[in-house]
Amino acid sequence: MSGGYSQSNDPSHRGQLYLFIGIVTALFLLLAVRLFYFQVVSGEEYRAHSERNSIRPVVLESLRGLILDRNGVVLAENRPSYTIAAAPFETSDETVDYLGELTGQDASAIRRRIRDPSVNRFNPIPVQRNVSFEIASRVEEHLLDLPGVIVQITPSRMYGKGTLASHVLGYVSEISRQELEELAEQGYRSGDIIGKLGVERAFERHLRGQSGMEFIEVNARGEELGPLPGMPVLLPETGKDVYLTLDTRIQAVAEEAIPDSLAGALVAIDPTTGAVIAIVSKPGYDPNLFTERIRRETWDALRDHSLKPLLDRTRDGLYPPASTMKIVTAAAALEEKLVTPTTIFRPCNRGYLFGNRWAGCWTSGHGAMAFRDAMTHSCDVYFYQVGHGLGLDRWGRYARGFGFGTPTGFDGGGERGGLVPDAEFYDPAKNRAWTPGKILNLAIGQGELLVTPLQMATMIAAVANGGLLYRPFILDRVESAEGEILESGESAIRERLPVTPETMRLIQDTMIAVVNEGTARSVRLPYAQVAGKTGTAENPHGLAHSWFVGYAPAGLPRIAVAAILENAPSGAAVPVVRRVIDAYLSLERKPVAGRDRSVSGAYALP
Amino acid sequence: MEIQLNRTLVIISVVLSVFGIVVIYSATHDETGFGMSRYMLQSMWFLFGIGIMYVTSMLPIRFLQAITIPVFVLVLILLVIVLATGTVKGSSRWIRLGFIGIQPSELAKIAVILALAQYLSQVRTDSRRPSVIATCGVIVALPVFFILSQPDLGTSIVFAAIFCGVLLWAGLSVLDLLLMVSPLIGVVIGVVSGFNWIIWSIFVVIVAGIVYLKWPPRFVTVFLIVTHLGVGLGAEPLWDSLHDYQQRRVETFLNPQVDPKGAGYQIIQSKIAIGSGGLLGRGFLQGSQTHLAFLPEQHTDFIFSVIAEEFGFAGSIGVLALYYLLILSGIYIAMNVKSRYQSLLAAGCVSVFTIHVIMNVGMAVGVLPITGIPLPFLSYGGSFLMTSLILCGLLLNVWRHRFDY
Repeated sequence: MSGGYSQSNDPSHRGQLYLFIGIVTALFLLLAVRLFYFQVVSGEEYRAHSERNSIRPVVLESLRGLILDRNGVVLAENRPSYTIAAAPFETSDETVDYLGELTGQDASAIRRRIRDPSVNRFNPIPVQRNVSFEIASRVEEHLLDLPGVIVQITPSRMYGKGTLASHVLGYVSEISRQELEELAEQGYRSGDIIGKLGVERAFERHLRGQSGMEFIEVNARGEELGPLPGMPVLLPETGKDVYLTLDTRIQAVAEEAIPDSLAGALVAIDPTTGAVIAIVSKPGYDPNLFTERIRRETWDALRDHSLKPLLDRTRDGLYPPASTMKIVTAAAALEEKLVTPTTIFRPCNRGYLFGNRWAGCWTSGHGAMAFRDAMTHSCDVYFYQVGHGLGLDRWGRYARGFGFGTPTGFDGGGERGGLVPDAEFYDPAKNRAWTPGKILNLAIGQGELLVTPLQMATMIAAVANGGLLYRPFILDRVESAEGEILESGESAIRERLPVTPETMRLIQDTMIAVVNEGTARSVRLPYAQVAGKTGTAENPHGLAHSWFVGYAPAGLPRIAVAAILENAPSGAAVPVVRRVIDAYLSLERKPVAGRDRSVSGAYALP
Repeated sequence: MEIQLNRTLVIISVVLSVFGIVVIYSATHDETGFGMSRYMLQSMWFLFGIGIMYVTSMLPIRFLQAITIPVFVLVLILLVIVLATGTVKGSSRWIRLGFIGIQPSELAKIAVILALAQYLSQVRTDSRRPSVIATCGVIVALPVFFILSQPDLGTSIVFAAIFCGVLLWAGLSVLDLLLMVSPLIGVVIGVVSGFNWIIWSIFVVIVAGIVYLKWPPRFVTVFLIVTHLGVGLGAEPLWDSLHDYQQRRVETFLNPQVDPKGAGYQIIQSKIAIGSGGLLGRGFLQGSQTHLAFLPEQHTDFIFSVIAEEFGFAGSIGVLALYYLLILSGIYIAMNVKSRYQSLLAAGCVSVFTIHVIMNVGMAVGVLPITGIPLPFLSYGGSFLMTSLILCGLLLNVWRHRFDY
């Protein structure tokens, strides 16, 4: 042993090496003692645990956060429901067949779900949610014959107000295969509930919460013996509550104001912030239907309904803006010095000859009119000539400047951007040749131009506040269950309308005139000046659509509304908007007590 | 007395590897959906690895020395490639060569051992000099820097163990090593105690006591004073300036069990599995059906629990004994070879085996945090099996050339 290099001349270092051996030996002894303790001393105890019993990790689903309006009115909450779940590892195919028999569910569907290679084999996964008390108790009775199957009480989404605000709330449903693949890293598992549309989807990360886990001992016959001793239950974390800027009272008034026999949409915005006060698409549907696995017939009925209730018209509905577009065309003309308030063009004689084509006006002829009257009485002929003067490029620049052609940036779910055609759009190769007459149509909001009601509302809100195009938003705040504010919705300006204050004032004045003397007299209120503009969108498939955009009070606007009624007579949307504005301004005079921390503070101005 | 060390080493490595294949079979035989069974893959790696081990044991010392720098550079290049091509999503530790993937971080362990042994055996001055220690630190830190693009406690501990083990062998004392890492320990104490300055002060007083007893070179004393003062004053403001998620990442790094759903669950399952093994175990293939199937990493990180459940205290203590014998043999080799280079080489190999066994078994029995360090020879995974066999080959090589100088 004297051949080594390190020890011969340094005995103290050799001591260090023995110390090292000593440390390693001590560590090994420690492990051995630990093993002895586990396996021999208390081995019997562990063995007893495992001999007959197995441990089943059961996921405890979290309570989804509530969705409330700006005043704390609950729009979406949770109720307890029965869920039948099966642990794939413990559940045999015979059990699946028997379970299918008991629940009346297709056994092959259950099998597909629990034999899916992506699921955790040991966690029971839900195979049927929201089962009735009868089925739940039937399964409960036969649990001994159904090893691996459990009946759980899990939270289920409930929309207490039924169809109210259904489109913007969205709904929840079981996660789809595709979503599961995309969101696997965020801890979603097969059978989980996830927000599918609207607010439920847009604020999923706040609402979801965090599921917990419990370890249950199960004996060889599949009977649960209770929680595993010594293993803490990981309690689920409740999701965060999402408060919306919506005012349920106004939402209800608006939904009622649109007749049930008609399809339509209405968006009301606070023009000082961009906060959405009401957002209605009619007809609605009951989002509770989707919480349970929706029945084929129900789904077919919804899908095939002639009024298309599943379509969210506020954000996915595309319409020509019709005469409401004259606001934009007029602003462009004033800004480009094409007209002054006193400019008179060729008279309106039920229409106007453009080249060799006759372009008609909507009524029996306005005669010669100055700018203000042409706007008040919505004379198409006047605006044909304005549009011709502007040309496609200049007109398009203003249309886009007023927010058309791009999504608004709404935070509560997806939306469409609509279409503002430009020179590239008119491509003969795509069967869309440009003819000089097209600008006439575009100038009065017809032709290829398409907008969403949400875009219209942000536009009219911008006109109301003097030129600030806000990003409309519906998130007021996110609160923890303890009432701590975690996030607040933010008012954000997208851009300024491309017009000077003088032009803005002129446009506002003419919109007051529209209400006082023109096409929208039925919107007038005794206590507040309303301003607005009507529109009647030609519909090649049937009756025209009626538009109205407006705001009030004209001096210090607090609400801006855009509404459209499909296949309704000219002016039909005006009284709908009147009711909404009236309801809102009446509320302000008697504000809800005790709510102060929210954007609703913004409408409590004197 | 001629000890048949080479035979002992070969027998231990073969017995452990074959036993590993058997246990991997038990742990994974009911898995479906994989192209080739895991135990088959592991067997192939083993046959291949035995060949590599033999070749390694026969290589001339000069050849080992000649390839040290090229291997070290190659490892660095591979690590950079992994870093550059690694996806954010999955494990960025692999390089795919056709159907096999290799982990450069495994190769890095061997490269660092070779490089440290080479450097320390050629340095003419006292290896306790700060400049020498600093150079060793750089040799270890270079690959670790690339490996740690994602904080990984397990890997950093293994490299720290190589560093400490080899330097201990080169002449440093246990206390020297403790002093060197003391500022780092100070940081950890600070974070864990929530910057309780009393606890930290007690720690610093202990360090000062050791300094007083050891009376190290003035340079070291100054270094210690500066770093400890820096830690004491700077750690808390620096910590507070981190984002929440960064703080959480550090906390998870220091204590992986803070994620209770993942790690705490595994520990419980592992403990029950080990405990239910009893004295003689539940028998081959009898364990996995019940508890162990809950363990997601049963064939890699928690393979010891499978052994303990199916083969009981007898099996687990037997495996521990084999490792202990392996490590003692390695230490014996390191102490009884003539050349300093070979001695340091053996010390590096021993360090890797020791830290892996202690950390892995300590994790399985619940006394150490979950760090994802596999068990040599036994755990499923080609790269680490290969590393283990190569390290064993190096020990055999050193023993074969023990009379060389």
